[in-house]
Amino acid sequence: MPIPYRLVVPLGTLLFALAGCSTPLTTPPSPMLAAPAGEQALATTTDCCTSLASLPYRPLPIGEILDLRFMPETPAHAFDDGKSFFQAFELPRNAGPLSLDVTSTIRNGQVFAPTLLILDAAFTPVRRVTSESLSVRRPSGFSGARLGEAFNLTPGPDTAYLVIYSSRTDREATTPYESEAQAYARVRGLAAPPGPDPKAVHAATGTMTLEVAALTRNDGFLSLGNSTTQSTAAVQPRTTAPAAAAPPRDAGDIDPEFDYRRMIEAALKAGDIELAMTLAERAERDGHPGTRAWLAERLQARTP
Amino acid sequence: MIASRSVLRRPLLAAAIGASCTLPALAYADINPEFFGYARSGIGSTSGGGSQTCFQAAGAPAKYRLGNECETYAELGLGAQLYQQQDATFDFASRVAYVTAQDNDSESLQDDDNDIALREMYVSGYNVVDGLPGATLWAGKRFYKRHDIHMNDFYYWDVSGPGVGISDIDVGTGTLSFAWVRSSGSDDGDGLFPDSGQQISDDTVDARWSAIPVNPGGTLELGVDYGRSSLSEWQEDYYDDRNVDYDNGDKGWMGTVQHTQSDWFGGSNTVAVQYATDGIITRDGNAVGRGSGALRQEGNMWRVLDHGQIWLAPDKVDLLYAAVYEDKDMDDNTGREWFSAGVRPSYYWNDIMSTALELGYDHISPQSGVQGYNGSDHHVTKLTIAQQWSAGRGALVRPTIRLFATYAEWNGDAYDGDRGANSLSASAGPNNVDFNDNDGLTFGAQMEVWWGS
Repeated sequence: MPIPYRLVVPLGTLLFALAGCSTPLTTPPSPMLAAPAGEQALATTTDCCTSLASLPYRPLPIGEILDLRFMPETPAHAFDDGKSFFQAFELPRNAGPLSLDVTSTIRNGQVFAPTLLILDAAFTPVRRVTSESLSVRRPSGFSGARLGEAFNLTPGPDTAYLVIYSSRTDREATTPYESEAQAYARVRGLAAPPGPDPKAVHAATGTMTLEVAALTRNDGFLSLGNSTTQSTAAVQPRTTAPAAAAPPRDAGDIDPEFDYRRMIEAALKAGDIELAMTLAERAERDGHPGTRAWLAERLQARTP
Repeated sequence: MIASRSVLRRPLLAAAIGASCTLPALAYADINPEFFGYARSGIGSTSGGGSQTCFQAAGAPAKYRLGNECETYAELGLGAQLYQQQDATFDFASRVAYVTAQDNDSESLQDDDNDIALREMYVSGYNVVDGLPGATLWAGKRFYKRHDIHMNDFYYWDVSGPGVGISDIDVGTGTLSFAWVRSSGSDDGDGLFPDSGQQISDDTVDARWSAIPVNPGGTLELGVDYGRSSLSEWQEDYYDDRNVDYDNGDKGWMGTVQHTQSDWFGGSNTVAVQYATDGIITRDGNAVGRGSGALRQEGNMWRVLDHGQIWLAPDKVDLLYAAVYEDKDMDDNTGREWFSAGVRPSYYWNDIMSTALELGYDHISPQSGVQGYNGSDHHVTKLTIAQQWSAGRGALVRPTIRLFATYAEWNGDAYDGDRGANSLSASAGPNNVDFNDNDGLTFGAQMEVWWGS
């Protein structure tokens, strides 16, 4: 093997490597600020606004995945449960039910743990979903460990604005998560690394994604628009959240695939009109519009 | 009474409410399949011509793997949680492994060098044994609490196979696990066995006391494996007739003491000491601690190793490292000493791109009775540079696509005149350096990925 030829490949590889450093082909580093620096930045940022009504709301686009930044250049406000960088949205009127999918990825041992605050048309808080309600999703190999959850809401006078921020209580908690070494051991059948799960610090800064989609039916998401959601109750630090926990669901929820019309048919066949009407009312409440009218048509059809 | 009448009048409502309450508890009502696995594949060439040669010291059970893997290997797993009620769960998992020589498009898994193997098929029940909360009862074939060194793909404690066990019993200070596993042999090592299809059943009993806290961030694991060949009466008669003494060689035990330190320069460090006797020692394979099928293998083995991952500069430079010393002292002088050491520093240019270097060294000192490879002291040193694109920062972040160049040197001829093993193993991949070369250079590209939901 001639010596010059031998040197071609490693030198070529090295040159290619170095060339790669200066080309725009690679993804730039994601914005990241260490948690203490983020807290310091928040402390020195002035309150942008005098009230919830004066926050800089922007329209919430449907059918998009929004990358939300909570960084020193982002506006901050002193909410009643703590000062925070925030993103504020005006919900689209007449858009019908929406699904919101929030994802906040744990990076370098820290995560932005959001609270979702729903305001009515008069800018009064009506619902508050804290970060404790979010599930810890373990790494899938293509996505890192993350906080995430899906919700639905129906914009209207009582559900007019959405504000995403991180409360003082959110930031006092931590999130245990599955590390890369633990994920590797799990999927390769290796002995699990000893020691406790690492805990992600809840930082004042960070990024997250918000996916907004129009809903045509009840998809079984947590609802932001009815009484089954978490209220403004105090949040305990997240210390024992299981990995890949199922989305929390209210005990009173009926399975989303519950076939109301089939059950109403059965009730009518059994002659139990009162039960049929009860089921129709329940269907309407659970996001099946038109069930009541459909039942009325059935009853008219049965009238001799 | 009014309430009772109301319910009785509404059997459908009662049924609907009852169904909605009980549905989550039914095993078959809501199965979410889990897809998990591992894969690596790529393309490489040897400088001077031919496909990629992989450099492994003859007699060594492992090689440093970065830019030094010549095959496509994949494990595809499917599983699901089948039952969940309160804290009790039943889970199913399966895994099939595939190996091909990475030669062309359509590679039959029946061809030489290619393989398909059923590696896992088991059910585990968590919290299903009264009085043992937190314990897992399992049965079936599985990867069982394997301990490996990632850098050189060396599994130093692995009793995987079909079996049964109960694991992770909380005893206040750590956890206890017990397993009975099977690793049948098809050959007694002497060619005497009449029918290789008639397997010798090698059973291993594995007991571990794990996660014993001994210092801040440090835990100890103690383990004992006892293995023996379970000969049927006709097999014993067969060997008795031929005056084969299998009383000692067909059994053996292995003890392991391992300490793992977390919070170790941003990573972790593991040091392990192992001692094994007779039949539980695997001769040259990637060895582990289970019955080997060799009826007359007598001797002992010491192994000391240390490996880990640390961050030299947070988010910028991390380091994988490993060192192994193993002394197999066999009564028939077919053992050897193996010393191995390697480092893999990686520099992260950003979240996606990194440059990794891997320097590895393996030294073999054979005993006098070794046949089949260089009977003198020999060594292999390899150096790899790889440019990598990964889904994040860190040595254990995947997927990764890498371009690599690997240089290796060794003493003595690479292969014998028939291209069999001499200083280099002949089974690590294509043998495309000249038989009397003392060094070689390869280059290529590889992807590596693992995933799981």
